[in-house]
Amino acid sequence: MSDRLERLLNLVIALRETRRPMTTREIHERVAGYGQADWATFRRMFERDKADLRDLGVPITLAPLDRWDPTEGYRIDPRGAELPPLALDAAEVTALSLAASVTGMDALARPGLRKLEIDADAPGAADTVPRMGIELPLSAPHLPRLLAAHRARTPVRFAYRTADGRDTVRTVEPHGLVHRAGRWYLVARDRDRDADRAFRLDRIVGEVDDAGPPGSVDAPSQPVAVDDVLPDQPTPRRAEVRAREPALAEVRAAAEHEGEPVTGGWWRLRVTFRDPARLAGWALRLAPDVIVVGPDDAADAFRAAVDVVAAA
Amino acid sequence: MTRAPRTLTRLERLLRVVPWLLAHPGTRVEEVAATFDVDAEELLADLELLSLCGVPGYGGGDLVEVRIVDDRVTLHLADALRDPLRLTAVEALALLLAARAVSALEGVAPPALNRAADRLAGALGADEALVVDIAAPGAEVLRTCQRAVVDRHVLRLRYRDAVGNVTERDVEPWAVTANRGAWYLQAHCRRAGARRDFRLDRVARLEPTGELTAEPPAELSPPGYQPAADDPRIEVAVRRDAAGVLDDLPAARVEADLEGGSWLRASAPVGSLDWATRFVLAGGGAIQPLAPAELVAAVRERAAQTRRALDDAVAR
Repeated sequence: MSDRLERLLNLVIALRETRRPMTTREIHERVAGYGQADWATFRRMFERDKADLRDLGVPITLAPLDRWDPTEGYRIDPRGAELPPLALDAAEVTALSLAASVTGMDALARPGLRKLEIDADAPGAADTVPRMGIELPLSAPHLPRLLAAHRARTPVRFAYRTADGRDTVRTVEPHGLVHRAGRWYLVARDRDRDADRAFRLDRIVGEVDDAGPPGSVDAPSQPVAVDDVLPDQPTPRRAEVRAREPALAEVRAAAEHEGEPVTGGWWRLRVTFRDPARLAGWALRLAPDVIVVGPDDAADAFRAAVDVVAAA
Repeated sequence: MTRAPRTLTRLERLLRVVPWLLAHPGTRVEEVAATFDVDAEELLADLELLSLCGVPGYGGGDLVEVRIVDDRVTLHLADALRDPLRLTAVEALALLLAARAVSALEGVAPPALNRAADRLAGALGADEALVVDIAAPGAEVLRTCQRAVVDRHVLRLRYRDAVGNVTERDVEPWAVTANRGAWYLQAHCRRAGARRDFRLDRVARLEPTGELTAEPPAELSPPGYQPAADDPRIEVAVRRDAAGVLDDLPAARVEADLEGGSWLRASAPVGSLDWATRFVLAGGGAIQPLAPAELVAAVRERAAQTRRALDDAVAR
């Protein structure tokens, strides 16, 4: 095990100190820890080492050996890092650590926080976090994978379970990620249906696989219009309802006004709604103490729902 | 989550320790170990391993020099490892998401958080395709609850429940928690003598009583229904295109297809038959009660009363 650690350290040192990029052959021959392996074994070892180092944030880049030689080799070039240096201060690192803790993202955020601590010359800043007493769970399965795919503009493929329990395989081009009402959605163009869709991350079944090379997803022609693909959001309107005890307090809270008394303990109020069916469901939950009387489409939807439920 | 193999953990730590040591030469071993939260022996083992590494050639002058004099560590020939690791884009995105979400909690988010979020967003290149909408509760309510949780103050609250009953109760606050887009104060309710999760958007009034209370329990299940062994069970038919309502029925089991696949039969435990009655009614016809008989009767009765109320309203 410490063999591998030595080998990784030697690789990092060699690739950082080299003046010219090193070819795989040179790495095999010259970097301690690789020489004993045959070529095939070396290739596997090196690929894994390279991937692990990149995951840690070591900027291993591939470049031509020089102006005249198109052969490519590897080197570590700080300018090849994904992001520029950030130079946060200790208070900012602590604040980020607090946010990671509140959102349940600690595990995902820890390696990044540790790096920021060193940049800030404040090791331990991520540990001095006051107790907030607030929980806002934000982590989700597949989230890091989809963040990476979106960032790299890589199409992906996954099995997806729709609300009625059927699984289908989808091939999609990620356009954005949205967190709303406690759920994560991937907004993406579904290639097979040639349409934009929103996929709930908690309905993705199994692994998310790459469905093409990075950079092969075109940016959407308009910015991600989340509301177009997520449930909801026709224009709000006012409905006229009647309500009586004990539902009055609840309806008044929704209506944001007291209403006017009508007769027999009933009051008239106006509530905002977008979808007649959902309004009917809301009112029926408080049955028999709320009825919807206008506008016409809302009243009709309510009466229709009442009739169905009464007859069942 | 799988644990990173030991080797990568040690490597990651070394890649942080070395830049720090190069910036702080001559620090005592114990202090370095404490700073990086590692045993002194482990640190020394890692440094010893480091001294066997270097540039190809691996002769004298090629290897990293680790000098420990009077317990103080200085590194030489370690410039290749001087660059601190940079954040990867995914690490930065995860931090940015957390930062933006918590920044939206007015009154409780530290000012440094916004600054940090802006720096992250700047480094990533503005990414409008990442949206975090947390429906933050009002600053006053949030601040009062959060303070009460941390300082363990008993709160008196006036609360309206889901069907409109307004009550006053003293509670021992445990946590402020977001779940499925709603915010809750999880607390021990002295009136009920049990845990209750209060939706913050139903809290009409809230103030500390001046009394302190005990520490909250270490683990709290998320807000929402937790089935208990002797809870009533219901059976319902759900229209397939409305199957999303099953999300509101925790521990529901879908048992069969009905009517050639256009309906599903599901069974589930529920907190009360009254809750189940309202759940079925709220389906507006997309949910039909199958069992128990009391549920079927209650749904039918309330629907019939509603129809009479509609007919009366129209007649007037």
